[in-house]
Amino acid sequence: MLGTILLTAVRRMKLMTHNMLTSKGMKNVKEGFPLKIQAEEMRNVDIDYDRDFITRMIPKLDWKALVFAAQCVGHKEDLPDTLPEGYENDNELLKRLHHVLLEVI
Amino acid sequence: MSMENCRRDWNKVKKKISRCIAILQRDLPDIHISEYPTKHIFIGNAGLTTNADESSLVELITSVGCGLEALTLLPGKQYSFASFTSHDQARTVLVAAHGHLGVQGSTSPVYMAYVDKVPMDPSPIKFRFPPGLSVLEDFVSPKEELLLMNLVDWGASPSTAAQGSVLKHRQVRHFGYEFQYSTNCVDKRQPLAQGMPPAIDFLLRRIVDRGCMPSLPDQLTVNRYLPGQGIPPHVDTHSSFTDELLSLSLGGGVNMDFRYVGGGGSNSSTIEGSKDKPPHYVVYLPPRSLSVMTGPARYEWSHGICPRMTDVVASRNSITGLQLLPRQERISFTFRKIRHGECSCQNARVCDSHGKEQKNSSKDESKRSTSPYELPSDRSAARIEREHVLQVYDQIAEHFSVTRHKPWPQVLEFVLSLPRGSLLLDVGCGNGKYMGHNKQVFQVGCDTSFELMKICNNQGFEVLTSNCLQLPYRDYVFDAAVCIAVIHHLATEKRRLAAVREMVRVLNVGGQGLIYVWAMEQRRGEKKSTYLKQNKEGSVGAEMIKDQNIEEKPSPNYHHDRGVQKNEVVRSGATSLPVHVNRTEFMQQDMLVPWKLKPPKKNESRCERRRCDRGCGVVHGSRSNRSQSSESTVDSPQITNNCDVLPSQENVRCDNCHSKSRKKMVCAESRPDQVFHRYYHVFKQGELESLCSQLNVKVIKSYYDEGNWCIIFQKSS
Repeated sequence: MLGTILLTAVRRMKLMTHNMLTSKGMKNVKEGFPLKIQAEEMRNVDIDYDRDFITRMIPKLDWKALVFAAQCVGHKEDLPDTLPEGYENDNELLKRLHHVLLEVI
Repeated sequence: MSMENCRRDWNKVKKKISRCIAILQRDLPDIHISEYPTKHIFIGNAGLTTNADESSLVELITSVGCGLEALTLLPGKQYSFASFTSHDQARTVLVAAHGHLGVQGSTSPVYMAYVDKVPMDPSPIKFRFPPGLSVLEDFVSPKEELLLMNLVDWGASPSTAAQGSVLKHRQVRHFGYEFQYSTNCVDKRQPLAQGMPPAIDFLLRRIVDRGCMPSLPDQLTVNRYLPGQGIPPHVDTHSSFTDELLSLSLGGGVNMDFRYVGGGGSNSSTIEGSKDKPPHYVVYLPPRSLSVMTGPARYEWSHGICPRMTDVVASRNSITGLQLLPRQERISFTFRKIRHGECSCQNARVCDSHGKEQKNSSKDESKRSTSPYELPSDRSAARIEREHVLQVYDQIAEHFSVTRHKPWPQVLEFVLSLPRGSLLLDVGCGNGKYMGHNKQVFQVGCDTSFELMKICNNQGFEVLTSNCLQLPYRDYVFDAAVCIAVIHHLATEKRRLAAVREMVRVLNVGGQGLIYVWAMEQRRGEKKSTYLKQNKEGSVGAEMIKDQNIEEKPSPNYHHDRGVQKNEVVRSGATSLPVHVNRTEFMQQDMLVPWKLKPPKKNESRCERRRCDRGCGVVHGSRSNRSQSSESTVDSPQITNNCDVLPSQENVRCDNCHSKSRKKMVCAESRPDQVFHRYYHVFKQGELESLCSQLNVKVIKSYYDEGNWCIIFQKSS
């Protein structure tokens, strides 16, 4: 619920951004992560696929939070529950991540 | 309502109160809920963070019961406590209000429970007298009261500014000498032609006869306060007046707030650093009473009146307990006597007379001369920021946005230097001037102004609304962060430090931060900043400057002794702040800077923005544009007016649309412009470094860039 309060301040957001958020700063919140999402409307945008860029983003992610968020907005896209070893060579996975992280808003 | 509905509602109330109790038990495990009535009631959902205050709570409670003895409100908490003289009185109130009645301004009812005790109030506001204060009741008769109240014709405007004026929050008249609010003192060499009115001779004699003052007062200030008006806390300058300050209340009574400032009044770290807040007493001044401040109450305590419609008053009758009194029009007569010679008080920390003998040797003294207003508490700082930063930006957002496009070259350089795949945060990103330039990085931003965030969001930037003191991001997540022209809007050093600390928190180890703040020093050696230079260039600029004052004065008039601008003071909440004259050097560090709002035209916004697409050649582009742009900015009143930023880079990008917007601007001239005041704390050399030295960072580079102090740092661990 606290997450909902925070995110009402936002109109559109990519899941990449969502992954960086926490409500820990709010009173009485201990973990504050990941935030639940109530998406009212979703849209897709086209962003050029950049394999190198997306590979560099992955280590910065909180994987569990990403899977949770993707589920919330119905874009799980067969993301595995844990980040597999050797993901940097899995072009299919990278493409799916590119879509989930950057193209859904 | 059916039985079932009723039960469902009651279940909801039960659920709500148990949730509130859970919070209480987590916060304050020593306080226990009682099943049976006690003298103390816990109010679970009305506290300082829900915008409830003493007035609204007293109003609610006294509407259904009596015997309220005390209220306890804790900073940062959503709940509060009410204490009564007896169990029965507490029960009456709980039965009537719990789940039924709400405090004013709230849509839901209050949820209450009995508790065995209340916490110690960390900032006790006590109905007590500071030492040296006495209140003489019925000093004048009702008949004399009427006569005195009619002495000043408030409808007629005073013939000179020195005799009186309409201040932002009240009307005022001076007799004998002009009391100058910017400095809280008088010019002793310039007595007013208008001496003490003969009609009050009887009063002056009574003052001396009853021993309130050793000799006749020679300065009188008459203030008229309407309900909702007040006066910021202040101490009348020691060197200007003698020991006694008298204030006669006529018409309505009022609560006067006294705060101890003697322990180092102008040193923020002493006040804010200690956990024990300085004492704060509230004294009710009934109508027709004379309050006499001498000794500590006069020299070491500030006095002020909180602007509000009602006062919470402790009645002497314990059955009625705390009461809420609506304010009425109050006329106050303040009597003072001009001091000749030096002040004899022994408190060097608060005495300006004392400081003079030591010839500005201490750091304290120089700080005071640049900050004539008292440093605000955290709460009033937040209020200044809300009223003079957030609300202003929300109102000027569109206009602000069309005047702010050109990124400052060295900031852009930093953004463009970030390696591929970096996560970049822009704290206080405004209209997104630094967003979307580096395609190689993933950039997010936040700003406290919702209206500016709308503008960013419409351009597809990843932003959200958030205060810079509490960033909604995880720890150690960003590779870099920029914070450009943001923390100079925070009103205390503690808050400025907290903002930088937040920025450091979200940075990765080794991550770099870049901060820009506006500099007090707008001149480096012989070289003036572009901000100052614009003053000289062309007549349009000069006119605009004159225009900016609300109350126009023929020429800027500086009080050389203290380095304070006398022109204008705007009173905001608990503090009075001088108003800066645009395109002049700063006379103090804390002030309000005017922003003249011109409603933007639709045409302008169409041509001004880059979207997410942009090239990397912008740095060079803007540099080569400089010579042209300084010319054009002078022509555009909009831009000449409002630059807290490098004006040379503020011009509109394409010439075509610039001339278009210029025409529009000329048309807009005929309409009266609204002026907003933004709060600024301009930084002195070394101040930014001193903030960073308190944090876990290594300074990579600190520099001066066109009227700004700048720092690049790296998070150490």
